[in-house]
Amino acid sequence: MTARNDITRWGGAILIAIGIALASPWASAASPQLGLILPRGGQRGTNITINLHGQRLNDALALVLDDPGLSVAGITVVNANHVQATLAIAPDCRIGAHGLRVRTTSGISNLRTFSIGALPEVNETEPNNAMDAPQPIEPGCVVNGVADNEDVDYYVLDAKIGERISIEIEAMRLGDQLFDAFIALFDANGFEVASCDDSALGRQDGFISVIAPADGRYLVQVRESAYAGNGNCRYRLHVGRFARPAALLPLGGRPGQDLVVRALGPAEGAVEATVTLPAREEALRTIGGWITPGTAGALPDDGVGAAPSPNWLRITDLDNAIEAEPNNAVAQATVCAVPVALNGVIEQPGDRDCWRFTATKDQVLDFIVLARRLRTPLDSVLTIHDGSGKYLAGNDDSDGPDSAFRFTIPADGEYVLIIRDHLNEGGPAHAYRIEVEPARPKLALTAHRLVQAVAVPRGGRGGMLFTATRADFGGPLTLSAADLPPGVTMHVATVDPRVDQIPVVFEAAAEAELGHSLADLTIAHADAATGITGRYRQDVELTLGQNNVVFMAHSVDRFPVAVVEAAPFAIDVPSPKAPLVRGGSMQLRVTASRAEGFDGPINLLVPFTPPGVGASNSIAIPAGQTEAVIPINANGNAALGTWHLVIAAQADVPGGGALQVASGLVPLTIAEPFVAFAPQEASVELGQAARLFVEVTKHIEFTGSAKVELRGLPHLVTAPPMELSAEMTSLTFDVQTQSDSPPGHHKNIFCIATFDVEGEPVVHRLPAGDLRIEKPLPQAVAQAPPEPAAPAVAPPPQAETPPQERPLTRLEKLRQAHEARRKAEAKKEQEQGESQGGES
Amino acid sequence: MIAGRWSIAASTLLAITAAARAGDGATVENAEIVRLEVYPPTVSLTTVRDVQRLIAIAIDEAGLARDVTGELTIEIADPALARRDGAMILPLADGTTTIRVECRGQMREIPLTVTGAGAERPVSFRLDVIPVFTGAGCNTGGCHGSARGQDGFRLSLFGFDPDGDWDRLTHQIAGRRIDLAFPEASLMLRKATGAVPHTGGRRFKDDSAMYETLRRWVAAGVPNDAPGVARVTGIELYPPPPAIVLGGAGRTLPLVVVASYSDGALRDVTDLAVFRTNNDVSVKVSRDGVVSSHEPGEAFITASYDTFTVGSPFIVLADDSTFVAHDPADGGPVPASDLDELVAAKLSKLRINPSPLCTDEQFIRRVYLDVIGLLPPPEAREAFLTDEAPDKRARLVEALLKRREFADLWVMQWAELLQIRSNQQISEKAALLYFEWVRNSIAGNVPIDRMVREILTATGGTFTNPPTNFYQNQADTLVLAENVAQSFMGIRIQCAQCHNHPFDRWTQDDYYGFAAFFPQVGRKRGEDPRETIVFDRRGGEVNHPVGNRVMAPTFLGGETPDLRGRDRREVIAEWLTSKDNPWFARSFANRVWAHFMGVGIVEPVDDFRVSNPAANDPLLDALAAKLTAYDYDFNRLVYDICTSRTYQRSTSINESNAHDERNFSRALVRRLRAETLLDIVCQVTDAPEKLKGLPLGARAVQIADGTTSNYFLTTFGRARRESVCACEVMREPSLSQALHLLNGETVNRKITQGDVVGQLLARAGSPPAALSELYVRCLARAPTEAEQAVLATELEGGADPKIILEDLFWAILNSREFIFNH
Repeated sequence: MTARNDITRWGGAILIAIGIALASPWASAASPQLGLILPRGGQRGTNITINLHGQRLNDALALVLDDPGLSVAGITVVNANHVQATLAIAPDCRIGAHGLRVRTTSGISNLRTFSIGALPEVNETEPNNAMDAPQPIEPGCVVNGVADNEDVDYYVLDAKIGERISIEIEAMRLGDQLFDAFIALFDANGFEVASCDDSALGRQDGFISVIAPADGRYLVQVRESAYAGNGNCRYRLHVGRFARPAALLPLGGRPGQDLVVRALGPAEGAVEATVTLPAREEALRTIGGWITPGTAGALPDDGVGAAPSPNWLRITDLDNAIEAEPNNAVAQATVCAVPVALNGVIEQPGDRDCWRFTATKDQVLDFIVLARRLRTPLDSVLTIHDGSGKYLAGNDDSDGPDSAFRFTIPADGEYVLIIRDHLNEGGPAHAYRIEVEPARPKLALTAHRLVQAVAVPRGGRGGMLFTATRADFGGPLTLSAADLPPGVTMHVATVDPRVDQIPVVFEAAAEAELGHSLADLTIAHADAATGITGRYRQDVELTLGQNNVVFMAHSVDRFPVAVVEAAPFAIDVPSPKAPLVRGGSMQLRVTASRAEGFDGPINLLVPFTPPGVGASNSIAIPAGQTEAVIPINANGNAALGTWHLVIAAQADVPGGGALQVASGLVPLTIAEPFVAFAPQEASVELGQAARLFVEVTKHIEFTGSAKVELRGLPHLVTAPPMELSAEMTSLTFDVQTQSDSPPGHHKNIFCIATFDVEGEPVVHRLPAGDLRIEKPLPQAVAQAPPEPAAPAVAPPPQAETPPQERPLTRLEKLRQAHEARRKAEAKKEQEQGESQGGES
Repeated sequence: MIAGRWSIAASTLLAITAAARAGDGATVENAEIVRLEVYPPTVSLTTVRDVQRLIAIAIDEAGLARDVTGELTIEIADPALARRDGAMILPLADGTTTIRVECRGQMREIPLTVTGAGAERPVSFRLDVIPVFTGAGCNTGGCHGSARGQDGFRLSLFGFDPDGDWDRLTHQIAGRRIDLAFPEASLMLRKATGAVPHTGGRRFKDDSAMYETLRRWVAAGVPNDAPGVARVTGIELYPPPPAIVLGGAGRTLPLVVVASYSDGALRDVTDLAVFRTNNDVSVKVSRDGVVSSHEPGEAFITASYDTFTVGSPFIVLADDSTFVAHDPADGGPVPASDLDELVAAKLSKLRINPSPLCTDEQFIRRVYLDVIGLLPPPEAREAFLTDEAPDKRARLVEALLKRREFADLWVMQWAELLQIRSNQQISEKAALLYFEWVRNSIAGNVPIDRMVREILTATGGTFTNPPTNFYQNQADTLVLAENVAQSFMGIRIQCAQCHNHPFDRWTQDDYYGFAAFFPQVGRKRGEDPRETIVFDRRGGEVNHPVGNRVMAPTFLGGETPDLRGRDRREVIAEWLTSKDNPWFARSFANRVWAHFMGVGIVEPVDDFRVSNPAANDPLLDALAAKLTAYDYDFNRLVYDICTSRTYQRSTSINESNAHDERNFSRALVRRLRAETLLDIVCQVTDAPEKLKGLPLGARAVQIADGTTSNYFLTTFGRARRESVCACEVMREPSLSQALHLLNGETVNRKITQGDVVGQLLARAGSPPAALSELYVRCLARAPTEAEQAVLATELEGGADPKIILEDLFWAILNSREFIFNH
């Protein structure tokens, strides 16, 4: 989740680049974009020519595929926006969505999906919009169709009584469009047998699986649910006799286990099948689509045929328990022992399942429901009760519709878990799995939501920002990669416990071959003894709705790394010798080397900065030049220590598109300021001079002197800079105002103190106190004529010359003024008293 | 002081009575009294301060009412208990007796009870002081009742917060606003009497009863009421309904308002009540409660006191005794139904004769447009006109009721009521599913009470159970409650959110008690981000803004039900749709009636309130009774309405009904709704309209999503479905409508697009024949000779007949005859 919310500049930069596509005679473009793949799927065991549409594809070399069952038999560039490829689909190729990218000589595209099915492919033929003129189809096919605006498509098939008719649509799941399909099945008389708009299993994609009630013709209707389709609303309609369970029971097992599952759903009998669960490492690779971590797809086949999309099973090291009805009452609770995975079905409306277990005081247990995440219809509410049924804690929707909570066992004894549907609904497929286990640390790794692949130029570097998600532990992390392309190395520093963002540099040798691989990234606690590890996993967003809500994604667990041709530019960042101090700033120098003929501007980005540190992301190395500096600032709480930055450089290449390269890791030390300033507030009348006094405390010993300037002074107020040497304990600035300086309380004045470390400036920003500029009091003006010279002009020059005592603060001045006034009044009273006394 | 107050009032009365006598002349004076009515029917006097006035009304042979209070002979059976001063009864000693009242031989006896005759009644803040502020208009929204007060002094609007008022009066500007030492010097009194400048001017004089009440209260030390002080439980306005009929202008009649209290006491509060009339052209009412007649017509006079408002109807007739009741439809093919009789009863009271029945030609067009929203096809018209059967109109209605288009028209009206539209929160899909649900319900003839129950108790996802969209549309508990009251009962309780309703019976307690049925509606986002799941949270309350107390869910004007273990919405849905609910059936029956008659019996249809009475109460009762008897199958009610004479009357007027638009003595000429108008333009031009989200040729009445519109529909006032108010549908003609028809592209484009003229010319053979077909097609009648003559004149000019006919077609579509139902 962090990755989705964390919009880093790297992702942003790529987005900006998408709009730039120039027709150019130059050979290679960068940042290839993959749009539509047509057809949207194919049958396994066949070879199929697919058309890949997009932008900047003119130097396409290969397809990046995720499954050994898919291979490319040939690739042809038609033009920059169109590539044709022949896919060989092995007979045992995995059913479902496959991620696919195009690799070009200069880059690697975004991911789109291609759907593999088991049934022969058919195309929709318009007109098929009238119920009385439907398109005939044979059961056991996949229709590739389009739901246009207000379009309604009809298909007709024959079925015998008792035969199963299963219909499943892939629409939203194709990841092309926000296309919410509706399907319905009518009998020969036009009466609806079944209809489905959305399903828990397929989200917005529905399915129907019924037993034909009579011999005869059956009509299938397909449309957008609000008739709001368009020419891009493509669908794949699977029609056949295949099994289409809505869920399985149990909903998971141990890695590698031969699990006996029962298929749940209205048109299924009590079908049982044995599914061999994959070992954990393979879990993701063996399935396709938008899935929950640690799950695998299963395609139970009852002999008639397997479904076109899998049901989901969770793979964890927990033993299964299966509910034993009746268990609706606390007294009837099914007994189990934790840790455990509880599996059951909320079979009827109003049904609830109770589970009883024993726990010991202070045990911290996680109770996690997996139901909708395994695509069953249940919207769970899970509660925990003591042995007598008294409510202790519960949750409805902690994980989407699924419930989850952590609970500390208050006392040794028996406890009861109760699960029900939020709306007290129920049904044959309302299956659930509750995983109960002691709380344990969890670690995961994701890429940015917009960038999930890296192109590394030969002899150059590519950068990437990953995000680690820690739960229930802290500590440093290490990132490692397996299966990188030959000649590519990954550079990454140990991940500081205070951050979760990880800048990474991939570097390709000059002689590395053009090519790609799907890298296997592992994140682990730096202390291997903890055993805490996690793997890369990313939900690649395909379809977004309003406010960028994700409607369809494709989950991957490998990170594509491509070696591309050498970039026409590279950047280097010399490691700074001086530290960046808290509250200070630094100018980070970046140099560029340009290939001959490449003169364009190079934009610089700092995708990662340590906590409390900010860097400008609007710096560019101007056209034709080779150097720029990036201002970096640290706030007063910046995280101390040595960090590693990566600077990304991005430029439009003449062939079109934008190319991005990276610097190496740049070490940056954040230190405490060398000195601290304690200023005093100063006040001055318009046109007068004031003294601004600052007490200096040294935090570290330094040699030489620092130049200290006052900044933020109001208009028409000046103060000469000062030198601060090691032995000084205070600074006094002479501030000169003019008669038309702005009166008021000026609070934005500060000092810039610049120290020198090995020839590099260490810039401090330090406080300088407030300055009050006051209008002269009217009395003072009135009194001015009698004593023209003395009060106004005299003090400053006097003050300037002698070695001045500490200047008075405003409060002290006010006190003195008050005291003077009091004395004057007392004197006056005394005089009056005396004069009165005289009278009497 | 008391004597002073009453003698003034009494002398005014006498003066008026005298004037009336002088004006009436000998005829009324000497007319035979058929009935003598004396009010109030009982008199109860409590404490020495209580006084009750009597009024007497004589009804003559013609049913006309006359004030005879001045002619009364009043005698108290036991004169030791009370005395009289004019028509005022004042207490003397405790006991029970009767008052004998006599006028020209007619005698009435009124029971009289006197209690506490020796006791002084202390001034009560709630029962005496606040009524003065309300009666004098001090606490109205324009004055100190405004939320920020006025000129530094704030009172709660219409006195909804007595404790707050007491606090502000007694604790703000101490010593000035209230001067306990010199009560007369209190700023409150000096302002009110205009003794010092007062923005609101002088509200009462310093010798008035109101002044005296306030002065006494200050003199008594500005006491607040002890807990448990009696409260007003109701008021009676005399004379009560049925309507009092006044014969001609210049008649006056006094009113009496009696309040009853929770301790059983009765009080004459005529001087403190606020009187209003809803038609001061016919009947005016003075501040002290004397009505006077002016132009012929009807008026409803209301009296408000405390939180109660009651009313009585008054009718003013023209000075015409030659009226003879006559229905020109008598003896015709359409028998008078029970509804017609109720309409006739009212008309005869008003001395109005109805118009005759409309012709068959007019009827078929009217009923087609009203029932299915389309024009009759020429063949259907022909068949109907040649049909000789006497019951052919009824059969036509029956046939039209079976058409799918009939349901479409009502689905549209439900969609307006339920605000079915997409917006940022509601996806097009949700709106469509909601609309489809309504359509399936109406097409499946689901009774409306069941539909409303399904809506109110809806639970689940907005996609999986579309009526839950009702709760998705409106997430604010209070607005939701207001919508329920307005949509399903025709009651607007909005005012009572901030103060007790000034013209109706609803108090803040009613409002928040009713709203308390809805705070437990839970909403959470579905897995599909466009979907909301509506459920019963089983928690959440509504608090009264004054004092913040938790309100127990209470039916409007009804009891507080037992809700244990139940979804509050189920309970309110049961009550709302039960046959005992006085509003549900009436509100829906009124809506149906208004659709066919152009005006509701209560108008606006969603504004049932005491001060907006039904034009014909028995008629509305009868319609509501039918609807419940039909188990809320409103098709049958539509049949009853459309087969009634009242629906089938002509729009022509006669001398007596020219000014009547509310009593159904004739059909009203009504502009067609935007959707129907567009549909029939498409129908006659054979040029279907393409509307977003609907296939080509779908009709505008089928629009599912309220945000879908086009220029034509917007111009003609299509409801945007942004509120539940029936006022969203604009039926007023406007200049932009006329200009759009004249110059806009809709009509012109469609004439060319459909090429109806070309086809008619080809089929009919001659331009005159084609013109006839055009007229029948659009106006359901043949052209007149004059109209044919226009064509002939144009043809003589030698122009292309097709162009001339297209121009005429355009002219017809622009005619009022086309865009109105008549």
